[in-house]
Amino acid sequence: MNFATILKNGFVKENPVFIQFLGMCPVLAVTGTATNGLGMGLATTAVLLGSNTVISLLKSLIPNKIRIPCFIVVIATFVTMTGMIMNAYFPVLFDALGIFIPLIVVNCLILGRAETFASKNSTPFSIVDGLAMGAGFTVALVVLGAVRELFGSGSVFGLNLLGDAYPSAAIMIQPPGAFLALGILTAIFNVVILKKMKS
Amino acid sequence: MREMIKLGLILLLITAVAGLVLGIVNSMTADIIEERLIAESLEAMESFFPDLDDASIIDEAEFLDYDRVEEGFEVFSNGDVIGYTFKTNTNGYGGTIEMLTGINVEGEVVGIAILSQAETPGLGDVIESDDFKERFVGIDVDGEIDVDTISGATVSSNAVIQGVESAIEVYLEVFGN
Repeated sequence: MNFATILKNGFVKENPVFIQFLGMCPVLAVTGTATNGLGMGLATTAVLLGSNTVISLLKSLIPNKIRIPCFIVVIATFVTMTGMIMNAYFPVLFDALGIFIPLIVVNCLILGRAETFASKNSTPFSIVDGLAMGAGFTVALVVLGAVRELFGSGSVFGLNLLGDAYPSAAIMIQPPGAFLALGILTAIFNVVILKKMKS
Repeated sequence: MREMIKLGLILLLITAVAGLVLGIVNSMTADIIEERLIAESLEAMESFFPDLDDASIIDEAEFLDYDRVEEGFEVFSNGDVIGYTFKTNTNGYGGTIEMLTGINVEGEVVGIAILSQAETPGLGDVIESDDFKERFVGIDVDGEIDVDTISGATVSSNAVIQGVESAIEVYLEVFGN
């Protein structure tokens, strides 16, 4: 194993959203705009980075039998910290993401990485894994948010791109649009990846 | 048995460290968060407490049982408490109506302010009109709320009345004596 493989896994081969389908609740719920997708992605990355680091440091201390409660305590601590810091310094984002911040605790991507990676690998590898998976998650959320925002309200990151004449397809920023956009993007992603893997 | 104690102690250790870390972060951010919450509502509070020069957040443990009340503020003028303001969330016709209700120390509603609403333009949004908001001024907390709803905007009006009711309820419960 090396750093390049871990990075590639996070972004492409094991992309948390388009390949592993992890953490679907925030993926579908907050990606109405690219900005919210970015905020959620960065918050998740911060938690993932923290929990991967701490869990890989503690892996010899944590007995196998109680590993899940230990992981959850570590994860919940980082989520609560992220929530407090966001509430204090990024209030606009905090208001927009609201209830989905505490729900990062149950984002199975984070527990999944603790269980399958951080508890079995060295700290430097786990830090890179946290960053890579977090970045893969963030990019996926931003792309999904940008696509939905573009078709749903004609803008990306609040920047009006399609002009006022564009008849906004409001369905795209509503829940059904999340499923539609995710399905189509996953299909595109997989076609491209499969082609590359074959050649 | 010995193993169980060992497992328990390890879990205790981890949770204790987690608690300590959270305590530190909380003490670093709590003041900033409180200041921001106050600043957001202060301007609106000034509309019905013109003399106000400071406000502080009331510990939310005091009104945890009241779902509709989100925050409470003590309002000060020259260091004395002159009244209280409660932020409430009620369901209108088009979504949640977030509003403030000010009650002075004599137990009289001094005014309300709508912070956010998504009522039907032209119908429900008249709850933002001064004419409607003034109907609540002077209501005694011990008496009945006798405010006429606006025709064509019954649901929106009732949501605002509900907000004032909830504020009064908490006021009586917490400061009634």
